[in-house]
Amino acid sequence: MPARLATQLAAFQEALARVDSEAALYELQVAYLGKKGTVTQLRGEMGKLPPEERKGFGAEWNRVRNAIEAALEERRAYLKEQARRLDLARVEDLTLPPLRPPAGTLHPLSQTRRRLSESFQRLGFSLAVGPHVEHSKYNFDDLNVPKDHPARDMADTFFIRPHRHPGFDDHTDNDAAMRLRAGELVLRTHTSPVQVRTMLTQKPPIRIVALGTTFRCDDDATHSPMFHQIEGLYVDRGVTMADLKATLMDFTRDFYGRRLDVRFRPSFFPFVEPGAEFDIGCPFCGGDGCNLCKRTGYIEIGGCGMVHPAVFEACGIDPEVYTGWAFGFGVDRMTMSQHAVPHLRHMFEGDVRFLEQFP
Amino acid sequence: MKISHQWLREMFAEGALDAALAAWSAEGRAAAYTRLLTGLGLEVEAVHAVGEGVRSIVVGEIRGKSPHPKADKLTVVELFDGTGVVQVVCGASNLPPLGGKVAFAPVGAVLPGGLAIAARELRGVPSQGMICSEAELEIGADDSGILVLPEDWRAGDRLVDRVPGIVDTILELGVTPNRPDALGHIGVARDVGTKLGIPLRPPHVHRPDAPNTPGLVTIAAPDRCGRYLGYVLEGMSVQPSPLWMRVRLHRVGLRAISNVVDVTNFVLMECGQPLHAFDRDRLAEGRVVVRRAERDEPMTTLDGTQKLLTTDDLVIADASAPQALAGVMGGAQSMVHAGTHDLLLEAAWFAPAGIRATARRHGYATDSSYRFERGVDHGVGLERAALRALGLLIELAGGRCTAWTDAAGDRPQQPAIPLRLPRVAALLGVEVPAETARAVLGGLEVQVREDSPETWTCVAPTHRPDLRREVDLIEELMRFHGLDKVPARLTVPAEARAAAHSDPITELGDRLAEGLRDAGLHEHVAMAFVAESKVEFFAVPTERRVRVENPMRAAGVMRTHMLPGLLDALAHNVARHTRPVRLFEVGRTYAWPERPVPKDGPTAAIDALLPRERAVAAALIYAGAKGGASAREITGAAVQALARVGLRARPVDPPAPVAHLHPGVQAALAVDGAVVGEAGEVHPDLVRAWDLPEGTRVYYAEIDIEAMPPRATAKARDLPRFPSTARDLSLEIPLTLSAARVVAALTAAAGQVHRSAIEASQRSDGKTTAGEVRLATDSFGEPAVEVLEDYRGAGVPAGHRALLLRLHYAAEQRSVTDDEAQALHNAIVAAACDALRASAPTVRPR
Ligand SMILES: [Zn+2]
Repeated sequence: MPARLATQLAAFQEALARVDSEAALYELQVAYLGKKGTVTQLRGEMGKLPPEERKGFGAEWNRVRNAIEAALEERRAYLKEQARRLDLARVEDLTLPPLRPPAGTLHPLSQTRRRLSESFQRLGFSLAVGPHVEHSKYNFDDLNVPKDHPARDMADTFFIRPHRHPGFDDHTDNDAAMRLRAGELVLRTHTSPVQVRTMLTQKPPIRIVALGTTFRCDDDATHSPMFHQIEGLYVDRGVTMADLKATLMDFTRDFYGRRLDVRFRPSFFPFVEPGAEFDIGCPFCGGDGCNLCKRTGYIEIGGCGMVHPAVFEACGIDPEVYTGWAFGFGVDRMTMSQHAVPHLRHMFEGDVRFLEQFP
Repeated sequence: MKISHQWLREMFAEGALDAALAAWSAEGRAAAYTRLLTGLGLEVEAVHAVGEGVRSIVVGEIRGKSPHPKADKLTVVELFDGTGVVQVVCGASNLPPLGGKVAFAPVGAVLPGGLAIAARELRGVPSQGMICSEAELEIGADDSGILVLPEDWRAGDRLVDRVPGIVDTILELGVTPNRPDALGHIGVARDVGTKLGIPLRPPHVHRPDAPNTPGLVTIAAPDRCGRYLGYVLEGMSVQPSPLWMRVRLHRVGLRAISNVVDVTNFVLMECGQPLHAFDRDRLAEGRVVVRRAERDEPMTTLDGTQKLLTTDDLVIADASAPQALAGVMGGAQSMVHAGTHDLLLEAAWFAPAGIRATARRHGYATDSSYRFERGVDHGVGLERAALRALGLLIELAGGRCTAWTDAAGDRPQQPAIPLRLPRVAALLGVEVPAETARAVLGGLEVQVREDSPETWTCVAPTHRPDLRREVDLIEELMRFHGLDKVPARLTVPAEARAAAHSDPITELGDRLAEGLRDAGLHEHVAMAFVAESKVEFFAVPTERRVRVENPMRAAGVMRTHMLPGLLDALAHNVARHTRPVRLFEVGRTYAWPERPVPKDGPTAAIDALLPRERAVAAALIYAGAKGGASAREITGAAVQALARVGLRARPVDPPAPVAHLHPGVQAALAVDGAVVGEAGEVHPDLVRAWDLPEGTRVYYAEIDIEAMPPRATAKARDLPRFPSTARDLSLEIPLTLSAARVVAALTAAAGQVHRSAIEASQRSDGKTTAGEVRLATDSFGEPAVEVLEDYRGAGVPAGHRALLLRLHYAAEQRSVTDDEAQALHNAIVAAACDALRASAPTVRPR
């Protein structure tokens, strides 16, 4: 019996040397130490031994089993370490092009519009909207731009052919439509008609911005027939030019994230009086002069001024009680200088190689 | 508007402007002018120093001329430059005879264009300098020959001494439409003088010693002509103007023509007042009538074009026919020519709107109409301009004034404007001291009556038609007091402001845009107008299209759909690269409503006249040259974008086919049964119309933002405590039966089976059995029916496909046994198949 024990141990050791996986190691363990394992079975046969030999055999059996267990454990640790080493020897090149889900982008104009809108909402301006096809009363007349006035030349206008609803001749709306003459419906040339609409429908205090698409018959390297504006309007008791200055300075700091030089120059827009142009110190060169500011150190942002009393009167607001200011900026040029867009045409072509540059 | 510094200087006492400008700022003339005028609202767009190169030019006298031995066109000239005789080779054909004077650039001179004059040989003959043309000296446009100077000039004299002001600084001003007075040097000088505190010294004028002859001018349309000054000049001699006059006109961008025409142009630029000179011998009866034209009355303007006039056009006629389109352009018949002896000089004020209408109607934009449209002076300035011209005409063209008249029509009134000084501070936020206000208004020639220390009554001068109301005067005070003196101070502190709100449609559009971006699409911004040919594929009747009367790029229709703009962009991309194109746009589409839409609110009457503008989000997917995109990517992008705004959308059968999508590859996008958009493959006809490669598959989706139900805040559902059990189902169905309908049928059948099970198990006490097995719901509470696969391979009959579905079953308070699930599944499948077979008899489980 003890001899068989020794034989088993020798066989185990021989088999163990050939084991190269944890699975094989487990099989080996089962074969020797499992319920029906050869070594386990020898323990069962101990009863057949004479009593005086049993004690010695028992001790021997324990020794062999312990040896096998220790050897198994050692081998297991060895195999684990081998596997770990192998795993660590793997090489994968993560400088290969990353696998990205398809990345979409928002148009740079949208990004600017959103930032403008967020900036002005932080300054307490609510968003207002208006139609693109507008009546000349709101686009011009009520904004103190009378018909046959040269101020209309400041914006070359797209006209919309009026519509007559067929079969509704007796409808009063249709009568009105029939009275429409050519030249009364236009594509809004600026976002300013939203001012009129807001003042007609709301009571002061009014504090709004309107952001949107505008149209002028202009098509060259620096003008697109469709472009974008932001319009601001603040009407309340006691609103002054000083408030306009302070607000636009606050906006500049919020939008550009730092204090920039600002400059106001007197100018003319029919719907404001006094009127001014608003420039900011060039954020790209710090005022030293660069291509983006045409070496002037300033970027022209847009026009502003105190709401003309004639506009208030057209909207039923008493200019003796209320004062207000308004501004209008071009969003496209702001966007182009912000992102250094070299050509205006890129903005509206929809070339994905351009659009993907603005994540 | 080009403004000459030398010209401005003449509007003040000798040297006053230079001294005042230098005292105001030490930064140099160009920079000082820029800051000064821009600060006054006369934007300086550019400053040019001109004439520096003329400093070395001297008067040369021709002492000898001989032909060049080797070149026919060249002449060898012996030229006396005041100190000695030099030999110069000259190519001009207009060399004056011996003793004639020319402009000579000696060796070492650098011409204004940068040409450095050196001694050189021309075809073997040495030449010591150059005889110049006025174009080479940049003092005129004539480059056809050399500049011939007056014979009485002395050889060796410097040109700069002979022509004062030839070295100049030219300012390019952007003049806003409210400032017609700044379209002449006097007006600009008035602003400059007021700012710098130096008094204006208007140019000297000639007062005629001749009888007032009312018969010269008849105003038959007094509403259109407020004033007409006419002067008769006899014994004129039409010749080229002297050099100083030609240089002056050239500096401000005008071409010298003849002394008479040049004088009217000179006064135009000096006073901003257009004048017109008629050849009086060509005027029937030598008089003029200001009247409206007859209907279709013909007239030939001096540019040689014939116009048929309307009864709204104002003309200056003689006793029989129109001789000028009033304020716009003169007539050919009575224009001044070389043989003109007698003139009728016109200085008038015409109603601006009428001039503008006529100029537009006949396609003219002249220096004259430009000023009349904006409003010229009808008061002292008008008379001063006429008398200034009279003096210059007599000086340059001889003759004398023999008759004149001042005819009156309806002149605009200069309103009395109350100016309340406290109002200045109330509007500007800064006080302007009374003495400053007094000085500014005085400088601008505004008449001021100080009724009280705080209330003044002002009357604006006739050269400032823009000053009508108190705010206009306040703006003047702001301009001169300085906008930079207005402090930055908030009226209402930030913390006292009401909260701002967004616009709901803009907000939804922005969130959809983010969803589409996250689906890997790039945002595009397309023109809102398209060519008519590109909207013909869309089911919008012709009469409902919104048309642009005066389109550009032939884009005459406002887009009815977003697809044309996206297809344009796709075509642009496909022509340039082979990459995938995934685009979206959020914008508006335009159409006239089918019937007038009643509106309310204060803008209703106007709104009823406007077309309907729909806020729309649209997406386009094209896989690129390699292909491989699936139509389901477009529904995926749309559903994902809608999920971004909290809406669970699903593609369903379109309620009606969409014309611009492939008839067999389209779906409607539905939220809770309401259609909010469409998706599908772009119709092959459109692919062809946009010249995309044959067989290109393009996928498109459009979401009607205004049709979207309001967004609800997501509410959490409790998670199931017991697992559900799944059963798969393979259904053989016709190709045309949509998965959406199959799922809907299964869901409906489940509800039906569940209801009858409840009825069957109702106990006597009226309670239903708790923990009934039913079709499970997903995390969003929707029936858990999954579509796993759309199989179209072998084993399926023609015109059919196999849809593999998985249905999940659960009970509320316990696990479901296999037998229960199977029994329910069988019942549901049987009921659903029955329902589907009503319209698709070949449906069967596999
Ligand atoms: Zn810069």
